[in-house]
Amino acid sequence: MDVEAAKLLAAGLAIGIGAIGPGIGEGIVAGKALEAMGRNPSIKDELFTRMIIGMAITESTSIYALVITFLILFAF
Amino acid sequence: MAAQIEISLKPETLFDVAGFSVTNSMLWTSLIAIILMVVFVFTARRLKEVPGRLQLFIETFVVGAWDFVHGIFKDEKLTARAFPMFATLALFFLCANLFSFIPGLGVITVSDAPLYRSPATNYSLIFVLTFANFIIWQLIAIVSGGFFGYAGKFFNFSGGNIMERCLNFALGLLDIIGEIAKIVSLSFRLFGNIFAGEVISAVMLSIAPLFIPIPFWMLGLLSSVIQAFVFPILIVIFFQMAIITKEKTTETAS
Repeated sequence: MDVEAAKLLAAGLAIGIGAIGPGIGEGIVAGKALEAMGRNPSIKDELFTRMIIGMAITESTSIYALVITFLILFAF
Repeated sequence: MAAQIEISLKPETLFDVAGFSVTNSMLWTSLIAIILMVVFVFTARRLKEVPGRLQLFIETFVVGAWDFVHGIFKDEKLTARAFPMFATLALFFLCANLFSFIPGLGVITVSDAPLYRSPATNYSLIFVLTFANFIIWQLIAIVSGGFFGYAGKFFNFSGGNIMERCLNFALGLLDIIGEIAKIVSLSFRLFGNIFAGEVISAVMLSIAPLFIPIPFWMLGLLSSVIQAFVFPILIVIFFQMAIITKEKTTETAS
């Protein structure tokens, strides 16, 4: 396998595998937040900001995978 | 096999002004900013008791944004300080991202470079905005907590016994990495979403020009609007978190 092919493969694998965990995690965050909003609609706004923080932290690992993908594709 | 598509992380240079290269995304950044300023100043000059369409639209946006920021801070004075940053960033990125969906803009080329490139796909712009806000929330922490309160967050020697002290110190050092990681994740969240949306629609367009790209455009439209709000929302939340950590330390101190 030459270097160019290995780079393409690595970039695909990096973001592909890296997006699995955050995908599951964000689904759980959104689902649980909606569940809580349904139970107690009066604290909807407060829950929404908390949900955004939780999603941001969950999402960050997939963003690091994206950064690695960009580095593999364009920097090396 | 589909035709070769040009994907570049860097925006293309359109022309040089005295050794300073003007890129396509920079041109549109300035243009959208000027359009927004003109529209807002124009509307603010002639406010009417019974609002017209434009004024009604702007009032809805401003009041909604104010209520949202107020919901985060729950304090009039802090809201008044954080609101301009939130509203400006949200409005700018909303307009900038939606500009990509004007048909025909991407076709125009000037000296082999496309004339249009969405401002959010220029990493320099996003990085500068993120870094400026990073400095602001560090300053918020310093001003509200005092210099020693701020440094104590990262070099924490408190604790009951030696194990607790070691743990607190290690966690404080991890906070430094966490602060730096915030810059990377915050800036690449917006950049990655918008850039990926543009690339995926370009790829789909080159594979099958009819009907197939439509669902991907819908997804791109959705993420354009959502990410335009997520970026300023997170910035405002980081501002608020910077204050709250300080209040906790004063509570334990007093």
